[in-house]
Amino acid sequence: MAGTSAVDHRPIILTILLLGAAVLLQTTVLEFVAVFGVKPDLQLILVAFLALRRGSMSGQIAGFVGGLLEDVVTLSPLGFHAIVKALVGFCAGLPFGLIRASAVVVPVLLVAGAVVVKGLASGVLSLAFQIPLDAHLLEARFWIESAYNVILAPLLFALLSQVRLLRSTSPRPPS
Amino acid sequence: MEANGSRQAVNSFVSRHRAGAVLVVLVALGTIMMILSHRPVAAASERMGRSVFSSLQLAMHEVGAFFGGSWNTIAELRRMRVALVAARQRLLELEQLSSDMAELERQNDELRRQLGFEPPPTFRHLPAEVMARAPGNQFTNLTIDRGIGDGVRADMVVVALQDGVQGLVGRVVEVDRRSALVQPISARTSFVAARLRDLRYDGLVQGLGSASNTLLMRHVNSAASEMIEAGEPVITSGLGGVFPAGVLIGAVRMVRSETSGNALDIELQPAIEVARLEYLFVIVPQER
Repeated sequence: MAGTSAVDHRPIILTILLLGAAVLLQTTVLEFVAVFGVKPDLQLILVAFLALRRGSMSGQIAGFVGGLLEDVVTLSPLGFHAIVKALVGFCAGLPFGLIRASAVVVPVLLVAGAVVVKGLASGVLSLAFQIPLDAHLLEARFWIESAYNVILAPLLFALLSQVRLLRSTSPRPPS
Repeated sequence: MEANGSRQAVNSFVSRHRAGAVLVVLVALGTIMMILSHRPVAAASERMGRSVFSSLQLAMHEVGAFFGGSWNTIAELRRMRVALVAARQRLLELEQLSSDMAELERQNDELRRQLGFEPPPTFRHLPAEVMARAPGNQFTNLTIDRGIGDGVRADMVVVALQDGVQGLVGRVVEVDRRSALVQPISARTSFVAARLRDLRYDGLVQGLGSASNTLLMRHVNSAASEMIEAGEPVITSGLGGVFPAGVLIGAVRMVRSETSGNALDIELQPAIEVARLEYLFVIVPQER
C-alpha cells in the first residue's frame, strides 16, 4: 500500500455541506438576527476562510459551488452569485502563505476586502446584464451587511479553525 | 516548430497561473449560465436543485419557527390579543357587507348576462406559509410551502391579510413539486398595472426594493394631480392580464415633486409589509 497517494475527499464533502448549511441558515433562521432587515453573508465569510487556509484554487471553487446553491434559491439568474463568490474566493486566497493567521486583524481585513470584491463584482454584473439589485455599493443596506460580516468574521473564523479538515494545506512554494 | 513553441509558452503560462486560468473558466461558465438561465434546460436543472433544497428549508423553517415562537410567545400573545379585537370588529362589518354583496353579485351576473358579457372568473384562496426568503440582501423573493402538487402554477397571484386588510403580495415566478418562489411587488423587477380606485386614473406600480417600504406608481396622467389626496387607495387595474382587477396594492402617500411633463410619479404606502409576512394566499382560478 505504501506509495499510493489516495486523494482525501473529506474536506471537499465537508466544504460543500458547510456551504449548503450556510445557504439554508441564510434563507430561514437568520431572519431572526437581521439588523434593519439585513442578514449577514455567512457563505462569504466561509469562502474567505477557506481561501485563506487553502488558497485561491480551493477558495474560488468553493465560492462557485456555494454561489450556485444561492442562485438556485433566489430569483437571480443562475450563475450570478456563482461568479461573484468565485471572484471573492480567488481574491481572498491571494494572501495564502504570505500572512500569518491572527484572531481579529486578518479575519476583519480579509472579509472587508471580500465584501468590496463582492460589491464591485455584483455591480459590474448588474450593469452588464441589467439586473436591478436591492443592495449595491451606493446603498446603506450594502454597508450594513458589510459591517455585519466584518463583525462576525473573527467569531466564525475562530469556530471554523476548530475543524481539523479545514486547516491549512502546505503554503504555495515561493515563485 | 513555431506552433510547438507557442503551445509550450501557453502551457507554461497556464501552469504558472493555474488558479487564474481556473478562475477565467469559472467566470466564463457562470456567464454562459446567466445567458442561458431562462432557457428550458437551465430552468429544469434549477428547479430540480430547488426541489431538493425546499425539503431542507421546510425542516429548518420548522425548527426556527419553534425556537423563534417560544422566544416571542409573550410579545406574540399581546399582539394577538390586539389583533383579535380588531378582527372581531372587522368580522361584524364584513358580515353586514357579505349579505349586501351576495345580492349585488347576483344582480351583476344578471346584468352581464343580459349585456352578453363573459361571466367574470372565479378564484379559490389557497393558504400558504412563507418558509424561506432570499439568502442574501441583493434579491427579494419568498419561498412558500405550496407547489405544483397543490395546484400552484407560475404567474398565479399571491395576496395576504395584514392588520385586517387584504392586499397584493406579488406573483408566483417559479414552481416545483412542493414549493414555489414568489416575487413580491416590492422587488425592483416587479411592475403591476394599477389604478387609483376612486379617481380611476391608471398607472404602473414599480417596486423600489425590499429595503424601502414604498412603492412607486408611475405614468399617471398629470390631470389627476389636483385631485389626488393622500390615503387614496390604489388597486390592480387588470390590464395586461397578469393580476386580476380590484386587488388592493396600497394607498397614496405623496405626489413626487420632481414629476414633470404629462405624467405623475406617486409614492405609495404598500397595503402589505412583506418583511413581516408569515401566511398568505395563492389565488387559484377556478372553472365556473
